[in-house]
Amino acid sequence: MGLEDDYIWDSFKRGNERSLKFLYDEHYEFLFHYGYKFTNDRNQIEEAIQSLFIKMWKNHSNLNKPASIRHYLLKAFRRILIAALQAGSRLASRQRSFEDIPFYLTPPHDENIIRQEEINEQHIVLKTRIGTLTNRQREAIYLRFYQELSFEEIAVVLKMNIGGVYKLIYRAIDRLRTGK
Amino acid sequence: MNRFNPYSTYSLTDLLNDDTFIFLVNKRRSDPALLDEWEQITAAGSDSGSAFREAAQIIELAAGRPLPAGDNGHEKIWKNIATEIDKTARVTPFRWWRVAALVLLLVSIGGITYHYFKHISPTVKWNTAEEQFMVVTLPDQSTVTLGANSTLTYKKNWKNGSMREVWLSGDAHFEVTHLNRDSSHINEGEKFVVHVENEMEVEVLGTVFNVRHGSGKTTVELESGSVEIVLKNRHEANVRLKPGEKAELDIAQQTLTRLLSTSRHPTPSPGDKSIELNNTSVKEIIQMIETTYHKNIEVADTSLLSRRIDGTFPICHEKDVWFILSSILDINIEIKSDDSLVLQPR
Repeated sequence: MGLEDDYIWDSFKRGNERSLKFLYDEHYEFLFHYGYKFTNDRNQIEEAIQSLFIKMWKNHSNLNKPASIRHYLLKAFRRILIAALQAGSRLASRQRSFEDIPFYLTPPHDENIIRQEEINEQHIVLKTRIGTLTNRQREAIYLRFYQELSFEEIAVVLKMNIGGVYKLIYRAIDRLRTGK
Repeated sequence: MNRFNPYSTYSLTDLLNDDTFIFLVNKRRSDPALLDEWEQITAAGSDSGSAFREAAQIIELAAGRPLPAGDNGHEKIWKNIATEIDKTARVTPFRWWRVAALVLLLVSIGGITYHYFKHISPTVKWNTAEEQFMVVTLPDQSTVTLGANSTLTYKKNWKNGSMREVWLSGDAHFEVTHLNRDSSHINEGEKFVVHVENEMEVEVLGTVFNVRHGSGKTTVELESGSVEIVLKNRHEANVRLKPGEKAELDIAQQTLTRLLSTSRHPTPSPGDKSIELNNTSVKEIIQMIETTYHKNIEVADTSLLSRRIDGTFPICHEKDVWFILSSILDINIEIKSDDSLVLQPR
């Protein structure tokens, strides 16, 4: 954790509301961006973020200092959002298994629409191939390439072992490269 | 310096495995300089260019769709959070100004208490008249034998650990309770200070000494222990006396002279013995001394003999007696080599 993050966290732990707001402002968009991959429902995403920060406030004195604040927030946020999505039966009951929690890297409703800007054929090919990845493969490459988490951190978020994460990511890259 | 250059030999897989490369590709979006560097290196036709472009495409696609425009509930949700925080914090809201006010209050109370004890607390004042002496016991059990026409003042309450102070005008013989344990480390709280008018301060540890103040000079004579004399005018350096030494301050000249005292060390005898004197003549006293101490006493001026003294006469130390006598009668006592005493007017 950088010095600034370290200081802000300690300050928050001591009950400084402004420090919590600082963390909130710094990470809000990243959390929303992540939530937006699971669902279109903005209310659900907002509620999950709200729930997360309120929980943090209530427990501030008991929280351990994480190695990375972003990682800690993503992990906690995912747990809250998924639980809310499952409870609200947004996911059909048969989809409640781990693998089947949907993760969208392209808008669910316009998978097949090719936008004007995408004149690059390669781009179109890649986009199609992304559609053939599993949900967890998509989530793994999202966390690695967009949120820039390490393999260990991804393993914690996805509640897998690190070998499983390597497999997810390398298989995803392979498929994107070769289509196989 | 093109930050993408080091990657020119990397394969697609290598690039996608490199934390820094991933970071740079993401950062291009917000950094125009970085974007320029990117454009240079991926100029159409270069070999590495295609690997770079493909890697960048994968990295960008992995982001998925972007956020909708607007603040996406950023402000609204914080309001809800803040409300919740206020609810739970209402019991003891932490307000800086309350803490500051409390601290200020405590400091003021502390200040007033300190000021009270230092300046306003009751003082004790002892005066002796002509031909009178008095033994005063101080709050720390030190004893002060006040000579004639002298005044001793001190605060009634002495705190443990604070410096002990008395103010003297006239003559006194001090026996100070020793508090210091380690002579190489003397605390302020272990000191005993005698303020002699505005002229000097005698700092004492545990000690028997005399202070004489009058006739244009102040004398401090040390029997045992150690004292440090601090001149108020500060022109002269402090003087530390050893037992048997005497320091004489000439008030007009403001010079301090160190001398060997002409008195000898006392032989302390145990017990608190004293005699009540009620208008007793000096003659009787001298007779009593001669008997008790087996000394021969010569009186130069016989008119001394008829003078009378009131008070309690302590007889623990021989030296006390000479001191008191000399003070009361305003005489000098000289001890001759054959141990006899000569009393002369000053």
